[in-house]
Amino acid sequence: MSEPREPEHYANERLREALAADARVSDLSLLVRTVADHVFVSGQVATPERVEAVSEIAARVLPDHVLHNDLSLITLADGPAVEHLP
Amino acid sequence: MTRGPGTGAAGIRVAAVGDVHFGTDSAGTLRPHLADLAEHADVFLLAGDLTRRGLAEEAQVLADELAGVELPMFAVLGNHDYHSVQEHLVTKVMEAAGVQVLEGDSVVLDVAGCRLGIAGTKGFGGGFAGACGSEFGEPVMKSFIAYTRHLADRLEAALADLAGGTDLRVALLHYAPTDRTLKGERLEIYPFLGSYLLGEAVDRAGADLVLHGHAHAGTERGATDGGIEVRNVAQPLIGRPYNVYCLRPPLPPSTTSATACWRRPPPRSGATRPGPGRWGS
Repeated sequence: MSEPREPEHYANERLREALAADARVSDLSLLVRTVADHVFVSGQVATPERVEAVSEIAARVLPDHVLHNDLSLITLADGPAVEHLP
Repeated sequence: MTRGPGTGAAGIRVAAVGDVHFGTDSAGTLRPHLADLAEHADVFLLAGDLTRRGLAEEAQVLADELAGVELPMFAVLGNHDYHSVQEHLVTKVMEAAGVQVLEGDSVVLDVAGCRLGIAGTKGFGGGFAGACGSEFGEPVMKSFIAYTRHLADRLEAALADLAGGTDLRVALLHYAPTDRTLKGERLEIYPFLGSYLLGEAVDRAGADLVLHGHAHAGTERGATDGGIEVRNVAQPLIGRPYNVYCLRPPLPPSTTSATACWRRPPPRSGATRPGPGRWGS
């Protein structure tokens, strides 16, 4: 008989906490969603190294899950938006 | 100084951004965008979360990026800047780079023919109407809300000090003073994103604009319940190196701020307020 699977809620938050605590990422704004044995991480990070670090951390924290690393890199538009306030 | 297309006659152009989250790997990500900053703005404000983990070496990378900026620069710290308990070092590094860090205090500068007052605080959480924490129960819960109240009180005092001596007043925060600029964030985390106490402080003291960050998935434009304009300038939200807000002083200049203030109600019976210095100055 196989071990019961950890509830998605707890697996989800273990990874989210790890992404906040790990110095390579330290990001509280990433979206983590766990569905059965799949984990989806989305949001924006500043560097490709941080994208890779997220994959490494997810593999360590949730080794029995399939990771879908949907992160994208932050890109800044040229110049500011200008608003005239009354 | 060349004044660019955003300039209004006798107005002030405030450039602002928050949540740049500099790490030691961030060198070169902001500097190229700041080369023409002085053509767009008169003052540059940073709305907290300057760093990723609150390390002095991260702040130094940002300081190096700002080295060529020839504008008055002011900042508040954010929650990330406190993470490594080096916030005093982060402040020191930024101030050595010419960025004055505000926390419960204010500055006045003459810029573009106006007297601009800036009051700043990091602020803190607690939530908004109908879903707020209270100074009740466990000590840590009381401490949570008392801390926010203390910072809000100091912000109010700093803004009030600016009244009468400035043409325009800007409140610079990290945490949000209204839930209107949080739309897009998950409702469950609103209490960790800001507090109505900050909005109440701004409405009581008066201001012409409030700038904050922290809510990456929020909304740029909002207002306090008292009608003061609020802008969320978190960089992941605005997707730009900074935004510029052009403010016009009321006529005649050098009298008082444009926004009418309302008086605070008397304290509720039994309400407690931490004394000055409980959270440091």
